[in-house]
Amino acid sequence: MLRELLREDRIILDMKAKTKEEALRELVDVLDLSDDKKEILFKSLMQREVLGSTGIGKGIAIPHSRSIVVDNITLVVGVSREGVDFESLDGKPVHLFFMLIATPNDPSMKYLTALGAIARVSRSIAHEGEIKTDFSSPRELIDYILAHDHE
Amino acid sequence: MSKREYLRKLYLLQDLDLLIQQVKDPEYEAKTGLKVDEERIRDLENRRNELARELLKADPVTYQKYEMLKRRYGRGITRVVNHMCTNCFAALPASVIPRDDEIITCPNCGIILIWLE
Repeated sequence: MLRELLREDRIILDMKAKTKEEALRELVDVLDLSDDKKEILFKSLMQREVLGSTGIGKGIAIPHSRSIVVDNITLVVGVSREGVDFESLDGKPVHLFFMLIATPNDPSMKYLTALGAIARVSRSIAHEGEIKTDFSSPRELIDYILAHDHE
Repeated sequence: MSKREYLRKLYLLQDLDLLIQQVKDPEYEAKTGLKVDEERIRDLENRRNELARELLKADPVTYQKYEMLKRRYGRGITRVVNHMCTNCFAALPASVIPRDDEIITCPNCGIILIWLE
C-alpha cells in the first residue's frame, strides 16, 4: 500500500521548520495546490492537532486529515535533521513526518488502511532506536521506509 | 453573510464533521494507536454545533439540505473539478457556473457545489 503512495516529488530531505505550524506549512507546500487550497489544508491539519498531537513519540509524527482540496489520497514525507518541537506524546523532537491527506469520500477505507500502514512502519522504525536522517536522495528515503514495511 | 462566506463556513463545518466521525471510529484508534481524549472531542463537537447554529440561522434551507445530503452521501458539499461534480462524477451542464448570489447544487445528485481556485 505505501509503495503506491510514496512519490519522489513528495519528499523533503532537509526540513527547515522549527515549530509545528512551520512544519505543517512546509509539508503542505510540497503539494501542487493554489495558496487558497494550501491554507484550507493547513487549517484542517491544525484542527486535528487541536485534538491532540499526531506526534506519536520516538521522533515520528503522522499529521493527517480528510480534505476537500485533494483529488486522491496523498502522502508527503519529510525529514528534519535538527528535529521539530511537535508537542509529541513523549516530548521528543520529531525527525520524521508522514503527512497523509484523503478525500472526504475516500472509498473502501483506503485512508484508515494507509494510516494503519504508516503507524506500523513508524513503530518498526522507532523500534530500531535512532531515526536515520541523512538521506542523499528521495529514493533512498523511500527504500528506507519500504524496508520497514512488513505487512 | 455573503454566499461565498457561507460556503466557506459550510465546508469548514464539513471538515469538522469528518474529523469528529474519524476520531470516533473505533477502527481509528485500533489502526493508528492514536487515542483522542473524550473531553477534547466534546469541545470540538461544541464548536461544530456553534458553527452549525450560525449557518442554520443565516440560511436554513441550505443548512438543512447539507444535513440531508450528509445523511445520504456522507458529505454535503463537494468540489467541482474540470466542470465535473466530484460526488457523482457527472459532467455539469455549461449553464452551471459559480455565482456569488446563489448556492449551486449538482443537477444530477443534488450535492452542494464549490469551485476552488
